[in-house]
Amino acid sequence: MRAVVYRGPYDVEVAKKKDPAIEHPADAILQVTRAAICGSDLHLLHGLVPDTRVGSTFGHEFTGIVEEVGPAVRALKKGDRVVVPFNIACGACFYCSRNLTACCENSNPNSDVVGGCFGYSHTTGGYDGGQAQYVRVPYADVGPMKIPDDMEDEQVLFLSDILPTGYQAAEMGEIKGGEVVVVFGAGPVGLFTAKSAWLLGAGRVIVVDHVEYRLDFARRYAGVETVNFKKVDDIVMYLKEICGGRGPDVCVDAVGMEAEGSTPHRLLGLKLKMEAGAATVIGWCIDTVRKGGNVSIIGVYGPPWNFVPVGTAMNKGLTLRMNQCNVKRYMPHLLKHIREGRIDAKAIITHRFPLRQAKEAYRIFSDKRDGCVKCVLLPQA
Amino acid sequence: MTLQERGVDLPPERRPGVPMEKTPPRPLAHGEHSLPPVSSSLLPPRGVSGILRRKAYRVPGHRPAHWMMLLLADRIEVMEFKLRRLLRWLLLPAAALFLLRVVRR
Ligand SMILES: [Zn+2]
Ligand SMILES: [Zn+2]
Repeated sequence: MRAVVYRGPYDVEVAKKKDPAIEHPADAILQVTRAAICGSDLHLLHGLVPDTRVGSTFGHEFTGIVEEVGPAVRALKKGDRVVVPFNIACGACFYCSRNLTACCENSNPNSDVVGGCFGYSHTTGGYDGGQAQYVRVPYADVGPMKIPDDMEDEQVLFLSDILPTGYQAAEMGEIKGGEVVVVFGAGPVGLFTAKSAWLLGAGRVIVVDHVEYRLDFARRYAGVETVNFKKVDDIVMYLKEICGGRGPDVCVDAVGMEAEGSTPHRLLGLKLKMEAGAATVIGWCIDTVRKGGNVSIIGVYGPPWNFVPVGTAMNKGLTLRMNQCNVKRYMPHLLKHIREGRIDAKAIITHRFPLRQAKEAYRIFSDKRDGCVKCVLLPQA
Repeated sequence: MTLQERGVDLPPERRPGVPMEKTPPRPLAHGEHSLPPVSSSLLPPRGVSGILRRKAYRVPGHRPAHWMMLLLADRIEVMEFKLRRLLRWLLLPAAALFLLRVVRR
């Protein structure tokens, strides 16, 4: 088959690769129909995630058609169309039974830190991802959700990651009604966080970024106020000021380890590797949110540590909540939102490329060129 | 923009989030039978980077050494990969030259 293959930092190519095979009785093999490129794939591409092996295939947001199932699979059969959560989860362990599928202890037994994920380095289990013609899906009865007959793949594609991720980010903010919510990051996850914040009852939603076209998109797509942090003197002071002096009730980090905005963090985190990426946005969240407020972290950081003003958080009495998204928990709920027209997930797709042009797709997405918000690969085109 | 024109102060028909959610997401359906752990057999460690990776996995994940060794192994593996690719490129013309010489003799 053909697949996107990692060759080293800033270097992926489309190459021939062995077809995946059933390795476990509960596996399925999918023919991939859509595979999105995620902002977090850029952390891999930029060589920031430990144990990203040369030859691995990225892609944790995909839909596909079941091609083959292992002998233990009961819920799926050949020909079913499915969307697959990025978490690989057994559905039955200590964590899965508490709905924490991102923490599954059976899908990445080598690690005490993180469960298995598709296409996200050997740190999360070393499974190949969906930016390929075929992909192996372990625990096929647990993760994949059948796509309703009347819906297209692209309508539900983002149930694999970014829509539940954005939703969980808003949920972790513990919005009860009327809160002022600041979302850092106007990328796909930030957009869905903003949408979800409204759904949960936020009173005011403000999105912060520095890429002007993405802020435009956020205003149109999510009906939010926006701030370009490069155009204000001090983003923390500015946000406090426009939020009545105290600051917002909830701050969400939808950016993660490659944040712009702080030279020391970029130097320490991205150049010198003294911390795991630039933790700029966690700092902004803690400094901006009002005392007693909630900080929700959904941006991705690497191990082992980051420079974060934890003393400020303690003194302000903040609640910090964070987790990889437990995708499966939110799928049925969010499918309903899509069905009923409250969230048009497909509308954030700005670019589609056949798989063979993946290199170009990565470049446009990574450089934030051409108004790119979300890139989708078509492996069968 | 005045306060009455945004957020909760907007008339309900203009609020982006109406209807507001009342029910939390439906939890995972349970009753899954236990399955043995799964893993990936792809790209097993090899070469110098492989030695380092195996060593790294013997150190628990809460120690920075675990991650530092892995990041170092990543860089070494890229060099190993480039070296192998270079050797392949060099080997090909060398073999052709050798064959040519054999044929001429
Ligand atoms: Zn993703
Ligand atoms: Zn589990």
